[in-house]
Amino acid sequence: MSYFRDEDDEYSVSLPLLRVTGGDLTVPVLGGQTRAINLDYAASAPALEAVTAHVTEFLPYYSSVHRGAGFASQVSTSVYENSRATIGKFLGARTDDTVIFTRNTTDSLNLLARAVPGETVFLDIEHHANLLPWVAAGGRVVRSGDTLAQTLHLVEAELIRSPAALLTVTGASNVTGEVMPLAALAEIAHRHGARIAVDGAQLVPHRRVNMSELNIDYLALSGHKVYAPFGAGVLVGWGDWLDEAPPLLLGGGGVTEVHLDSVHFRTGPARHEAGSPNVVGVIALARAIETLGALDETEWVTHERTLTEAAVAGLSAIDGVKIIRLFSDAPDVVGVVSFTVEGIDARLLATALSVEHGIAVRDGRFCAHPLMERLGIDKPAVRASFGVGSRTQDVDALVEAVRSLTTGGPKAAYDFFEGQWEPIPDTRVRPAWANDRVSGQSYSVQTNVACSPFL
Amino acid sequence: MKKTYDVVIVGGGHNGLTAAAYLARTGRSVAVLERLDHVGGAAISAEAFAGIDARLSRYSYLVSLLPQRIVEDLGLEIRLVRRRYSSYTPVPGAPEKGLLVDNHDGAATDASFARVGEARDAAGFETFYGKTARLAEKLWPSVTDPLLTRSELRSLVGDDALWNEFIERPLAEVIERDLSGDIARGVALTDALIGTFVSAESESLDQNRCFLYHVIGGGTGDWDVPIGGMGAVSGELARAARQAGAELITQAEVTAIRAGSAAGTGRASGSNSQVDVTVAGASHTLEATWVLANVSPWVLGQLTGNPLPESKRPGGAQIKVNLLLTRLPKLADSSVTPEQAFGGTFHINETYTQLAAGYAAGVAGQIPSPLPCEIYCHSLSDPSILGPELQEAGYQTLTVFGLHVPHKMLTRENNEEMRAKLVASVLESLNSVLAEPIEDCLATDANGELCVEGKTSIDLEDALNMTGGNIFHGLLSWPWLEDGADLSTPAARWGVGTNHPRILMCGSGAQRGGAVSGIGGHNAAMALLEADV
Repeated sequence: MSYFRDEDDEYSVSLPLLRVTGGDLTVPVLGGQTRAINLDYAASAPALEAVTAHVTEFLPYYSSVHRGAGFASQVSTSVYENSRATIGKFLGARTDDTVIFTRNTTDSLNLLARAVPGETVFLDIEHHANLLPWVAAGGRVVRSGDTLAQTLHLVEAELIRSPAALLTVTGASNVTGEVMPLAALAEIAHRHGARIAVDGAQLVPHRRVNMSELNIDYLALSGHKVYAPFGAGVLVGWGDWLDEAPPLLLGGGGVTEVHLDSVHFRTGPARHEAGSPNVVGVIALARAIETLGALDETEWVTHERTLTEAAVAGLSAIDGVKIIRLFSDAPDVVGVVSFTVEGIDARLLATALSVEHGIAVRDGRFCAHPLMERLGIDKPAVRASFGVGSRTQDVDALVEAVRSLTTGGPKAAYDFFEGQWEPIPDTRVRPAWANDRVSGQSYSVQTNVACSPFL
Repeated sequence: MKKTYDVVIVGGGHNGLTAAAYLARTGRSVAVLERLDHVGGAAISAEAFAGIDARLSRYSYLVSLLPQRIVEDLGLEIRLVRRRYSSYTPVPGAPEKGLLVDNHDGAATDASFARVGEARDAAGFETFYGKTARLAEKLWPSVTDPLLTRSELRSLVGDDALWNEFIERPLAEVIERDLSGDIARGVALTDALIGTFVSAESESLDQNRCFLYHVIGGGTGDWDVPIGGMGAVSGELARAARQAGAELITQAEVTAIRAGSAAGTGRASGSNSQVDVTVAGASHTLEATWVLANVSPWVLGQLTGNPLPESKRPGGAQIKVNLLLTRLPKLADSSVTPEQAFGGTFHINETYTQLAAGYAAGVAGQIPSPLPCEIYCHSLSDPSILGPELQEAGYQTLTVFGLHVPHKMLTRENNEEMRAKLVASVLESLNSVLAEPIEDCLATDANGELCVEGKTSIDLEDALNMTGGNIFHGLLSWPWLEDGADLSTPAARWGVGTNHPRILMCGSGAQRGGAVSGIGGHNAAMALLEADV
């Protein structure tokens, strides 16, 4: 057990549940160096050490898949293809489900959106990845209620009002961490003839998800959120719609026969995976899922709950801090705690947490603008998120830093420039290899964070 | 055409199209198999007369029972026109007088009742139709929901006296209680006899069921004119079905259905149902998890190899006649214009006593004389079914529905002869109330033939595979389940069950499925969605 009862009679976890690459990273803060405190797992989680080790172990064997006659190529091909089974097994997929590799959740959901041969119903609390593809496809939005119970009722009413092919819903909110009642939603969808897709980006890194037990038809997730930041994602689910859909990408590997005037596309995963695949990303993703799957479930959940409860308790006790929640009856919340603050711009708070305390969080509207609108939050908020590599000390440091910044203000001077706060002067030194762009060259770069404008 | 579908719908009538649109929108692969070279079934428009640019609603005419919910769900662009005049009924034997019920002018209607000597029934009509309106308001919203039980609906209606009058006791009783005149009673009774061969007093209550479906549509019981004719309604449903991804396959005659055991679409578990179909002369066997039968229960029995006993074979009781006129005929009644008289439902020889006599004649195997008929003129409300030249020249269409002509009077051998006799009876009945013979107003087609098209029950069976020419595919059933009925399956709850769990009744033969309503198709689709795993 890595958690214990401390003197204050509160549970805490003093050690990470799993070791992550970069867990002992040191970063510059104004006036020195400090151990980096990564509380931004929900945006992108660090690689598990097990994943990093496996990638390192694999790289010498890296070679083309499906195309090469060499030994390494055959190893690469089999490990790539076996990843489907590993991932399917640990996610509780049915044996006839298709496992398609993509770039990330967004990619997976866009693929599904082009394959759904009917109407889709979605909620207004979704991340843009599980919102914009459906808006574009003419889907029907359901405004969620103040409770999950109400929301279930509203979803069912919409499916009764007019049947749909698909209900798509997040597994856990990327803003509030609240876990959606997936088994109940699946039951409702199926009762009215619809299938259910789950955006697992925020749930799979935190909870065991078994598609068969929950009766989920499709599951999408990103490697970079499940401790495998090597650029692969996955869509798991029924093959029928996907086999009928136009290929996601056109190119080599997705076809059986090509003539200049006719093309026969494959069915199965190959149909949508044209071009040389991201083998490293896929084997990393499979190892990450496998490693999480081997965790003792109680221990895993307890680790995260302990941190979440500590963060909520600590932050709520600070004047002007308000934890963001969607539902008054959510029974489970993953390691995601978002909050608004009074008296200090949330973006400045986030910047100062990094600049003065070495704490990484996210600020903004979290690519979930309709959700923020629904909650009546018209200013940026702050999100702290954690996972298997986090410890109580990290959360405690956050609470202390937020308290000091909201009561005493930042210590350094900051300037608001091009939508971001910057310390003046910024004396923090980056690694040499991460210095500014090559002199004399100027290409278009994205300087702002996701879902701009206004963050 | 594929080899395997999630759902195969047998019969491309309007209910099949409705079910196809709903189901294809849920991502299920759907094929609609239609025997003819066009979809729409009985809900079509056709150029009935050679070389004449007039597209008549050939077999069904007015829309009342199509729920707004279906129109909205499927995004149907259907325009309906409400007719100002409810009905006109000339006094038989004294056609210089007639009863004109004007929805917009109560005083004129009262005066009209007085003129035909039934002044008391002006109030009686209000009482009677006030009751049906209350019934409609309560019963109508339930038709696109799972069936309620008799007790539940009875308490929903919340008026035991009302319930008893229309649901428990033969309709004759309430008609005779509320109305005293022979004309008023006859007008009220006709709604109980359209497509149903029965007496007002029958303890079978078949007349009550028929009546109920005629007065609850839209919560008001109004029967409206579809702009562009009935083909426009089916056309929109076909568009919705195609747009949703359903395949509509015409000239596809189903010859056999074998029910399978698969538990749901998409995943292999159990065997699929099989549908043998001949498409343009070539035989195929399609596989499907679900089969929706948009055919009569009788036809389904034949297709599945479980034929119903001959005693259950349905038969219609009507003669349909479509006419094209160069102008509306002159009436014997100078107080009413032809536009008013033909602007609503024109009742001919349909007094209460004439209807009773007509029924007695039908039972005796004779054509009633005079033949009780009612006429509907589409082109007065919607001239768009006529080409510009015909519109300009003042042409009009008439459709006559003659009652009490039971199917058993007809045989394949006598059909031609009977058709001629029945058409003659219709024209004779019509002429008995006009100031001039209708023949003087009939248009002629490109071959010089008079524009008169008669359709016997045998003709309907031949053209539409509507068993015995019964427009409801069989006897109508109440729009509820009896108390204690089996509610264990979605098919039972929606009133679309058959002997086979994977075959659902989706047309007029479904409970609540009669008339151009889409309700049978909607309810079969909903039951399928609930039952599919």
